[in-house]
Amino acid sequence: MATYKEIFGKKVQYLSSDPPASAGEGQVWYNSTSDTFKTSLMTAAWASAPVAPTPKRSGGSAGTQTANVIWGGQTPPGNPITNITAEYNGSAWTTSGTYGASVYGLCGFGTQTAAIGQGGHPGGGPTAFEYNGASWAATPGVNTACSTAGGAGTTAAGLKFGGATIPFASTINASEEWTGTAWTTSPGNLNTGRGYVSGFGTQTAALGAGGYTSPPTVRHTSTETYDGLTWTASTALPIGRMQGAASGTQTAAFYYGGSTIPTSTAGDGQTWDGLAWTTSPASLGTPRRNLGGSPAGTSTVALATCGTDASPTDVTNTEEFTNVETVATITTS
Amino acid sequence: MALFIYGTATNYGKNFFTHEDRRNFFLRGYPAEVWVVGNNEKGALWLAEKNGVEKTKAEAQALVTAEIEAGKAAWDALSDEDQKRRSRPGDVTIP
Repeated sequence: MATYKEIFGKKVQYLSSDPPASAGEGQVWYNSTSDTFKTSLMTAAWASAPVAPTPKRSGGSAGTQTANVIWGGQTPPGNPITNITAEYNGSAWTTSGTYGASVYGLCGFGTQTAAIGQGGHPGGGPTAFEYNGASWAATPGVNTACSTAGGAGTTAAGLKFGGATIPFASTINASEEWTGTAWTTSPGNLNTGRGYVSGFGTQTAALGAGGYTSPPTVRHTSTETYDGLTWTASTALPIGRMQGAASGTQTAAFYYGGSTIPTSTAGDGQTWDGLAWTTSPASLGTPRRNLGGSPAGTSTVALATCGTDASPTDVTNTEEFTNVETVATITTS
Repeated sequence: MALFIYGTATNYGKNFFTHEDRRNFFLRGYPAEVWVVGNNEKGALWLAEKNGVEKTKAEAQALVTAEIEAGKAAWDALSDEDQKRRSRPGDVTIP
């Protein structure tokens, strides 16, 4: 029988302790302490987390997996529209200062302590509000009133793009930059105007993915990057998707959940490496659309909050995603 | 042997399912608190530990379908304006 060295050209390393998981991917070694063969694997999975205080869909969201904030949205029964804000700290939810309007389908970006919310149905119009971790304050309005726009950046340098008119009659391809004190129209327009587009990154290095136009109803595969001046079409999503959640940057993003065809309520996620999309092996425990994300998070550590399941019931479910390298013991089973 | 176990259980949040659970067995939630779980020892143990009520596939599908049908009826009763804002639920078939 051939030996490992004859096949691979090297001996199996003989180590008394495991190397860091990040250094061991693709390697095999023998751990002399545990008398086992080891390797390092990327493992992606979603886990359940404490449920949010109120079921809702199409609210705004900002922050990371462990410092997140959601606001606005529709809540059952009868789908009243809410202005409730709730914060998640990685272990529990607490309610916070109410949003400046009762709206859904709004644009959100920033962090848990410094976020922007903009527009939304039915009365969001051009309004925008800034959150400081405790309360929302009105800011100057945008130049083009909209709902369901994508967002990126911070309260000092933000970006909103795309979206739809209110009511949803036509889509918008314009972009506006938030300077911290005012909204200015960018010379760059999306190549494909669309609502429910998801945004990632910063004001000068943004990514817009997916989205929706109607009629006829189309879930878009479009992926576009923004450099502060222009939008450039990039590698398309494998299937059209809208109303998904966002986490990460222009060069390392995770786009998950949402609505696709033929699965109207998606549980899968797509990972973006700056060049192409790859389907994640992990899927949400509860597939859903119109969910909240972690726009200030990463492509490997993300949060899914609330949303609408397939029935369609608005849910309080929270799930935490991690895609980390872990040391694994090789067994024969 | 069947690929999946079917049951109902209430998602109470933290640790209802863990990253390790998701790596150990198939798990997917459906309307009406229906869960489809990989048919192995760890999957069966998970459903039992969550006070789950095991169902046959037909029973689980019936629960999901009833929830979907209720959702369709609710959508049909919406105004034209509201119907434009949200899509009518589609049929869901559990694996």
